[in-house]
Amino acid sequence: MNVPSPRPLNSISLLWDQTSEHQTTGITNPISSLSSTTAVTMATAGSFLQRCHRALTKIPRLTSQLTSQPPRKPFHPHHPRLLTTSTTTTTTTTALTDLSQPLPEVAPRTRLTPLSPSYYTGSPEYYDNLLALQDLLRSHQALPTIHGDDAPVVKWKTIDEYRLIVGDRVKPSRYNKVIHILDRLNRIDPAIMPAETKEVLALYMRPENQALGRKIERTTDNFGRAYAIGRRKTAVARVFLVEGEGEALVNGMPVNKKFSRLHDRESVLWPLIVTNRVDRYNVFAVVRGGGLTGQAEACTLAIARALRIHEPALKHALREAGCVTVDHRQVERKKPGHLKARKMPAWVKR
Amino acid sequence: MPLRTVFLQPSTLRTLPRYASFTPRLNPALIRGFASKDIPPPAPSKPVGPNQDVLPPVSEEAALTADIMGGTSPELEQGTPIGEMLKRDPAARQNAPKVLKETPGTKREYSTSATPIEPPPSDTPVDVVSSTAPASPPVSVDAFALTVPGAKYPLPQLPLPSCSHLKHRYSTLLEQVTNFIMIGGRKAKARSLVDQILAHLRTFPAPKPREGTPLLPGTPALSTLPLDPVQYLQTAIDSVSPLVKISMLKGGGGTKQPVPYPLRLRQRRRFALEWISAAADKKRDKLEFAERFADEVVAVVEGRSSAWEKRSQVHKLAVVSRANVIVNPGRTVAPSKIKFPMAVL
Amino acid sequence: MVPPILWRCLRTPPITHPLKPRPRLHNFTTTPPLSAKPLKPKGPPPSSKMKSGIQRTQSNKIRIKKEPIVAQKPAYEPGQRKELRKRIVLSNTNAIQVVLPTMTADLIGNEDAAGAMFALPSGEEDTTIDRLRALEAFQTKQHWPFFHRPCTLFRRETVEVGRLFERVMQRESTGEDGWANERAILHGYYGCGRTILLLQAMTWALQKDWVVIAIPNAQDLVIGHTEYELEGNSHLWLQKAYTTDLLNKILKANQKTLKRMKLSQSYRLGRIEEVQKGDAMKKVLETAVLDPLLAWDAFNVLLGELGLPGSPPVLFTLDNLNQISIPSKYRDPAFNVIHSHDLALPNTFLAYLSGKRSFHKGITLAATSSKCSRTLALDAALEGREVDPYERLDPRIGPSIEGAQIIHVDSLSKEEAKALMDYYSESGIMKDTVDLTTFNEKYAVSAGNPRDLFSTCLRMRQ
Repeated sequence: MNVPSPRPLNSISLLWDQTSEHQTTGITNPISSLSSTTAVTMATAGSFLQRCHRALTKIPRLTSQLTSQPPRKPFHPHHPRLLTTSTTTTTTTTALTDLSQPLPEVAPRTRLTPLSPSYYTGSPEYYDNLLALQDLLRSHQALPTIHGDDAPVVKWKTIDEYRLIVGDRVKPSRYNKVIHILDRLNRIDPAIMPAETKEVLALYMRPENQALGRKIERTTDNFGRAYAIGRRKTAVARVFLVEGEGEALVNGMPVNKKFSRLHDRESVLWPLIVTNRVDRYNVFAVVRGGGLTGQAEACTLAIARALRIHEPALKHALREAGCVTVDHRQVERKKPGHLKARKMPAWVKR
Repeated sequence: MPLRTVFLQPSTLRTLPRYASFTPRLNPALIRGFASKDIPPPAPSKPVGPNQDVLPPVSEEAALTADIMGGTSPELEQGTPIGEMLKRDPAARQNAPKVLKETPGTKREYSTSATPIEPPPSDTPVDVVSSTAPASPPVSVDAFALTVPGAKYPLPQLPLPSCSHLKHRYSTLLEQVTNFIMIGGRKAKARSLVDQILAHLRTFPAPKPREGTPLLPGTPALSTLPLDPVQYLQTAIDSVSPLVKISMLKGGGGTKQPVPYPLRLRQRRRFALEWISAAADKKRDKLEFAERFADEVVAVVEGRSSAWEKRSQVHKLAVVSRANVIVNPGRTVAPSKIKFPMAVL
Repeated sequence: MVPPILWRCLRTPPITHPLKPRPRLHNFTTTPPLSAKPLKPKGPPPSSKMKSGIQRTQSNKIRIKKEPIVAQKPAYEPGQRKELRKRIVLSNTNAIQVVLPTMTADLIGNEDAAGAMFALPSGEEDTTIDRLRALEAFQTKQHWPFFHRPCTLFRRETVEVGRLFERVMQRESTGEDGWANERAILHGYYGCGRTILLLQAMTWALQKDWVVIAIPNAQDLVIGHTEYELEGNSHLWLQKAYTTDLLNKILKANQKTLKRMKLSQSYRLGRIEEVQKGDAMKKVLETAVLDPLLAWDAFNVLLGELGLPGSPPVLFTLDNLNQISIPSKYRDPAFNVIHSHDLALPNTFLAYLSGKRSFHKGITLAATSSKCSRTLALDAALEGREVDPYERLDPRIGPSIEGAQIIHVDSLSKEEAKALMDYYSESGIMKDTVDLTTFNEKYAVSAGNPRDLFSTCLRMRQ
């Protein structure tokens, strides 16, 4: 009962938990599990996997629950798991606190029960991990969040690094699911983020995260001008935005002389129109390349960016108006042997 | 052993009592679903003015005092004329508010009605420009900058009104008409044609209502339509659009069965546009496309377009072949969700 | 081009509208016109997908049924399209009526009125609008069909045009024995309202009983659409048909004034016709209108009489000045391009504009155009800059507008734009009231250009 047997990972035979073994293996002592916790929190990237192994071997198993109850369904949204919120902790905590107590005798059974509820999923390691994260997320669902832009900048482990953790069978889409949950957890208000969550998130971060978080702050220059560049199609617009009375010059011309189409003129001034700042700023733009539509919408992007330098609080409004979205599409080049980018000459017999 | 809780060991839970560390920092207003029952719900966010939480009127107070002290209470039903009180009491006259000191009947230059203080809307106040010169906005810039960090002027209210997106500036109907008219990707040309159509709708004489034209219910009076050409166009297109389409399904024995299918709004509009432009193409006595199209739109509203016949033809065939309707046409639509517009036929 | 000799053969030439195409009746033809095959009807419109003549039989053979050829009535009579295109609608019963003060002659030079809308005079007896219509002062693309009645904006530039009137009238009132001539060119960017300013000037002139002579579009003179012939003495090319048309307009617009004008001496029109001293000018023009041969002489009589003391004041306008600053489309017998200034009518107008000829009292007003190919010489002359000798510019353009005052027509000020937008809003063009947000947006998008401002207001965001 008190001998924790270090087991090799992923060996099928050991995934099976035989009831007859429960008396010999099973619950580790609480002290060792404590030390493993600290080890995990201080884990570095290099020995990560080994630590994981060690931690794995020391997981206290709720053998009583597993064996005395019928096998659980793989997933149920309201199923109490090992990690739950305060509302569901009652049973779990008692189970955990009872760990030091000797387990009640269970009648030996011959039927084999998979230890993991995701045993039949094909990649049980991944799904266990995902389920645990989902549990964590569900338990913190009600905590207030902040906007994604204000959340601390984090770089998660790449898919290759993640594969090292959970095994090889992780498709990018599955990896994305995990990242999605992590991003959501990261958006919990930092002021009240539970320490437990912080630790969990730390496990998935890349070590170079300390270098992040220092963004180059763009400011207006000493003349009060904000400078920004925008591109669309093959046009490039450089824009100086100053506080003023609403004059707009594009290539030295008023907007109505540069752009004869009303639609294009509206496009140029769209960031200012939407935020109702047409008469607050003067625009001086230089546009090169491309056609009229490209030039007009390059101006849009540049003005929106420059406006954000003046007033960062306009970010959401401009995003909603579609002014800060970069459209990087360009004309596809013509290829030799083709008539256009893709068109092939008509087939001629002989 | 599975890796199920590799990073989430239950043992950590035991050593770190949940919420113990950050409970004091909890702000109940910030957390949803955590509010306990014994804490009263927070007060409504409407701010309270300085004179809204004050003592009851003088007469009521006097009546209460009289109740306790056993004196004669003032007449509550009629109220005590404040002028009388001021006449009786010289001290009150001195301390009376400025409003009362003035003779009644003269016009005051300030308001005495106690309206609750509303915070200024975050959107820029709608300020009608005076006829002589455009006035500056009333919100002082400096005061605002102190309140909202990162903004120099009042922020627009989010979400923005519809048609504020750079790529979706026009209503869905106009966008569809534009794309329908467009040939060879010349969108600017198509837009100008749509503008011309709308301009023609403004200048043509107002449509005359005709009995038996099944215009959409809720259509405004026809005489007002020319002033709102988009509404005009929409009335015409949505009224004449069919509810179903008939597709011929191969039946047994080399026959074909007409099967009616319900249409979505966009599909319906497309059918209407096809019919209207087909009818417009037949007009040879008009110079331009826009003029012909606009004329046909008027004809639709007046009920003399050939599009109406096409519509009734489709509907009649749909009624006749209603036995062929496929009730569960696909796995995507549940049978209960199908809105087959039989009643309207 | 019809040789003048042929004209003389015909005693009374058919009186036709010179700008309208004539019925195709050839005097000498060997083919009887009625036996000619009727024009084949054009195919069905491209969008119709029905193929009426083709029927598939059961044997999968295509049998084409021959349709009998039916003489199809053409969709348009000759000249009908042009008429439709040039049709001017001045009112819209759908629009909401806006009560506005009338643009009277009292407002000439009134600075306080600047930035307000005024309605053109109309009423039971007032025929000003009809006369303006006769002068072709209204153009097709000027947004008149959107409003209940024609109204214009009184602008800063209108005040400046009013100053020209003021100066002439001052001379008139003081009774100075001098010549009072004002010459000006309205110049600005596209859609800035030059033609409307001409219209406002004509309105005032008609109300003051001036003689108004208007060439509504100089392009008609140079694109080779009217007949022309060389006049031997002056070496100028006369456009008699166009002149007849012009006289017709003058006659229609200035009936009252011309009736009062008496000839100071006898004149000879053409070879035969003679008008006596003391005849009304109206009679001269009425005679000339019937015969294109007399038109040019009659026009000269009119201009000559207007130059004498005691004659009524004149407003002589020409729109699209640029068009007569580029080579014309006419050719001389040696197939050389005829310079626009060698055409008699442009030459006459430019003589008045440059001050070579002058009325006794009058204003010569020209407006430039933006719908024209580049006229570098005129641009240089308008800017008044020194011409580089290596810049090979037309040397005749500069002197032709020498001395004329140049009125720069600018974009609208905010007050003017506000007045216009209020008017649009009241007429039902714009749905909602004009608030600061809308105003700023529209003004910025249009950059104060009147034409753009209108189209911006017309296109409402849904």
